[in-house]
Amino acid sequence: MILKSDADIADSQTIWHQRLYLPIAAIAIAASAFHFWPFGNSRIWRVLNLPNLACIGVLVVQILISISKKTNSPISSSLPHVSVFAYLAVNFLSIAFAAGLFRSVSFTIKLSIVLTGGCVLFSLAAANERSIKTIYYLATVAAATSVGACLFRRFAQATSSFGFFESLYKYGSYIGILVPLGGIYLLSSRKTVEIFLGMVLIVCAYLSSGSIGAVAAITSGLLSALIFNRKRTAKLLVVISLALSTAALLAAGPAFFKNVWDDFKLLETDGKNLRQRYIEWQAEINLLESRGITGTGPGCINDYRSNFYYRLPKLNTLEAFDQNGWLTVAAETGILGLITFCWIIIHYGGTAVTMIFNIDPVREPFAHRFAAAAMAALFSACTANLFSSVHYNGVLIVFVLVLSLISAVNKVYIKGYR
Amino acid sequence: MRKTVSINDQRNGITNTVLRSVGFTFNLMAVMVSSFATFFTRPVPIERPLILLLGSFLCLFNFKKLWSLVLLQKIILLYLICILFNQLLLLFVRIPLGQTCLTFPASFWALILLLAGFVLIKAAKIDSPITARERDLFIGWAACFGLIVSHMMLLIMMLSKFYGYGYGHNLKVIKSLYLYFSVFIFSWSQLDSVHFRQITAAVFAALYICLIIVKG
Repeated sequence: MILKSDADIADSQTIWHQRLYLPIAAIAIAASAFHFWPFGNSRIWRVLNLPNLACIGVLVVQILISISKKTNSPISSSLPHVSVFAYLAVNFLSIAFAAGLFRSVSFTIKLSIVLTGGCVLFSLAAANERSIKTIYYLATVAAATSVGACLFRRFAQATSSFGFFESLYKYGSYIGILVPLGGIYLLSSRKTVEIFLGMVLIVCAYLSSGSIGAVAAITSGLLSALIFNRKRTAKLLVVISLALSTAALLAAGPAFFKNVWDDFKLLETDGKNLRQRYIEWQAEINLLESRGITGTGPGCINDYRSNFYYRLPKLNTLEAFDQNGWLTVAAETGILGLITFCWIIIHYGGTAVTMIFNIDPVREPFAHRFAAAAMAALFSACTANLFSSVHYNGVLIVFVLVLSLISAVNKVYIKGYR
Repeated sequence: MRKTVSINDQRNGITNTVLRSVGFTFNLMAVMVSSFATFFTRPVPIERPLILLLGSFLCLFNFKKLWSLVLLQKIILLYLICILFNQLLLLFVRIPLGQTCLTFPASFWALILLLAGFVLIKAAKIDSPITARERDLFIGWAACFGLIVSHMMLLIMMLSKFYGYGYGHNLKVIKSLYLYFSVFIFSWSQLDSVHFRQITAAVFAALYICLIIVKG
């Protein structure tokens, strides 16, 4: 009788996971670039789009496998950190205070499925160095597809659309997270072609940005790579990319600046009032005075925020998806919701920074590339969350991707599961 | 000599047990009194007490060595305790003092009980050290404060310039943040106790069952 060792079992499971989950992860990442296109008007497609379906499918499969006990690697090994479950628990409990049951429950279910299912999917897919590499390339291609579609629609077809995204804020959050991820990964390469493509991606992403959130997110990601990346050549290439981007933006002139300036300026179009966005921020802070723990319920900020403007003007000029994600989390799920969300960022951010300092870029070049790119993307996500939200349907999946990549790289290289 | 040391150890053990028990009682009293007050008046309406009841039920179980589930239980119970303080913050207790009247939020009195329990448990020197897993949660509080205060400072500059908007509401928000942070500090170590978690969960379960019955 031939007895398999634990290492043999682990290897066969890794291959099995890679063959099954890597294609599903590829579909989820690729589909995210198209957002809800071509069925953007369908409510069912907005809920059951390909990335969400992938998360649901993986959860169902893994639960069935765990129940049947035909594997030594149950779902628990690929689940996200306990901070994610703490955040989901607070979201669930705050449904008790929501005015609208349907909206709060659907928001929490979507959040739970994508946060847990997405983490499980990407953790199982990123089982070794080769599959992690594949995922990074896929994410880069997805970013390039979005940016390319946006540039084509805005400059070649002269429309005001942002490619496949209906909202400039959602588009800004999406590329704000993925472009630093793909761009830093390519800039850290030794191949000239990849470095060139990385620079092109970053310059084009800046050109396609229509919001201050997108510009700030991409810049913060690049600056974090400049500070934390231990490869000097990569740092130099980041500086060159920033310089090229600045030159390209100045050359682009009014076509670029008008949209970003319109988004950044402090005054409303009437020239007298402060931008509604900032009044909204103050209303969300005011809400914490009486609903500091209860919040409004997940997804239900619109039901209550008008009551907390007090003597500030309600101008009804706030654009859809123009939200401060941090304050919205606090307003919807209370202070404990914001704290648990910060806990997620602190845990994964701490893991990413520790990896950067522990991985030798000479001895483990790929590991360092992975870690540097993921850390840059996390910084970008935090910045993007100031002017939009990482919780939006279509953007949440890339936020989960970043968290999962940090966890996967840590598992493969630091904990030595390779 | 050995006998003297042994007697001293016994005395210390008895002292610690008494301190721990009294601290436990104070903390439990804080929860029970707050629950009682919340049953009769709820400035923030609880639309669906069933959700909170389910959370309470989850905390009745003893998951022993499954540290992640124990941590989740602690956070759920912390949330439920903070809910009580959220309600009490909006209620006021007036104490006549001669010709004047002192007014305190009801949460102040519950916080005193929690503080007493916390001090006694610290005196007993039996609270467990903060684990690495929980350390990030503590940093999360600091991050939360930093985020909200930095937003406030930015907005004060803009809103006062345009609308003469003051910082009165911001101060009240900071006050409530400090209240919840105090609740966290005073109750977190007590929530390590399985018995405290289970009794508190039972109190919450009873409260929310009564609320469901009253709501009809």
